[in-house]
This record gives sequence, structure tokens and C-alpha cells, in this order.
Amino acid sequence: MDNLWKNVVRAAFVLVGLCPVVMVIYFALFRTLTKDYLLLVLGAELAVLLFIFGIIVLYAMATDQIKIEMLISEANGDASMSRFQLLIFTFTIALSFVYLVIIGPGKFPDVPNQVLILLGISASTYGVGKGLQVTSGLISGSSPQPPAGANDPSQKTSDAPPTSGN
Amino acid sequence: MHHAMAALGNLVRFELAALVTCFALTVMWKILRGILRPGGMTAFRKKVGDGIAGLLRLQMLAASAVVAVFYLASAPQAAASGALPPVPKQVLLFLAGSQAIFLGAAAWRTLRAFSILRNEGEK
Repeated sequence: MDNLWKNVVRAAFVLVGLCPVVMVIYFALFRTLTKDYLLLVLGAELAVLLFIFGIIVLYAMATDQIKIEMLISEANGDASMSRFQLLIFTFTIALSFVYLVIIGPGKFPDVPNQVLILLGISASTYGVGKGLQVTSGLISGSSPQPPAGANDPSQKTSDAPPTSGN
Repeated sequence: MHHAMAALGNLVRFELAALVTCFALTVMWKILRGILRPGGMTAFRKKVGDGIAGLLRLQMLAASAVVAVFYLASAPQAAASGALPPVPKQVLLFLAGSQAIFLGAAAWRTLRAFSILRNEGEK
């Protein structure tokens, strides 16, 4: 089954790669090859390629080939509030951006300074929290180790002395 | 040609929406399945006698959620302007204050652990 999917993906890449060649030859032989046509072909090519890359990455995440279980956890396995709030604001801004791209007037949306400040506050909290966690780990003399049951849904919480919860 | 360019623009919009939405859904799905584990974020730390840490995390979680919902709710009104909705200064101050409290508490715990360790070393 895995081989089937790999072959499907390879075939998609080959087809996408061949498309511009075929189109350029077609326009060169039978129609006038203009800069606009080339831009259109290049744009379509990039759009399809990036979409396929995105789908492959998402598929790998969904099937745990790319592991993201530590996305909102500290290195020692405790849940991380600072990572979670950064995730919340990143998705908030990203989804608003996508909404404006779809519903809006069709141009690249402007990003106000306040939005950058919001993301800056969120990312700074993550950075400072990370620094505090590393400092705490150095003070307690224990290097952060992944927990034995990292994939256990019945996880532990932030009980370790002061290294966690940032 | 103009129609083809417009169609390409629509294709890119669809792709962008599909990828970001699928990524968000993937993360949500993993949180709901328990693979991503947010459960300990508001946990009280009874073992180290620092129960207020859970409250501080809870207030930051609540503040983040409130600001996120506020921002998402303001997006439809900004659709016509073609710009992301600006965040009022008061909301930024509220969020910064909440996060400063959280970080201040974390820094205090770190300093306290450091002073305890130093006292033990002197003994």
C-alpha cells in the first residue's frame, strides 16, 4: 500500500514536471509564445508543486511519519503553556489571513503593526519561557529527558520542580 | 488570458485555504486523540507546594483564548478593507500583562530554586 502511494506521488510529480514542457512546446509550435503564457505556466506549476509538497507533509504528519507530539510539550514531556499560546496565536492570525484572502478584495492582505506586536509578544513569551526552563534545568542539574511514556495519553502533568510549565 | 490568470488566482486561494485548514485540523485531531498533550497546562503543583502556578497558567490560557476569539470575531468586519484587523492597544496591553505575570512567576520560581540550591551548598 505504501508503495502504491509512493508511485502515485512520483507519477504526480512527473506529470507536473512534464506539463510546462508540453505547454511551452505547444505554444511555441502552434501559437505565439508570449511572456504572459510563460508566467501563467510557471505560476500554475509552482502552485501545483507547492500544494503537492504541502499535502505530502500533512499526510506524513497525520500518519506520524513526521512526529509532532512534542509540539506543545517541553523537552521533558510536560505540557508547555508558552508553546500552546504561540500555537493559538499563529493559527488565529493564519486563519484570519486565509479568510481575508478568500473573502477579501483579491489582493495580498495588509498586515498592521499591531498584529506583528501581538505575534511578537507571543513569541517573546515562548522565548523567555524557554530560557527560564533551560536555566531551571541547569540549576536542578538534570538535563531534560523525554518521558518514558511520551505517547501515553494518560500523561503526567507538570509536577517536576521548577523546570516545567513554561 | 485574463480568465486563465483569474482561475490561477482562485486555484492558489483554494490551495492556501486547504493547506492551512488541513494543518489546523491535523493539530486539533492530534490534541483530541491525546497525541498532543495539553492536559498539564493548568495543573496545580501540589508536590512542590506551589499551587498558584496552576492559576497563573490558567489566567494566561484564558487571556490567550479571549484575545484569539476577539480577533477571529473581528476578521469578518475587516474583510472589505483587505487588511488584517488591527488589534486595539488595550487588548495588547491586556495580553502583555497576562504573559508578564506568567513569566514573572516562572522567573520567581527559578530564582527561588536557585537560592534554595545555594543555601544547601553553603550548609
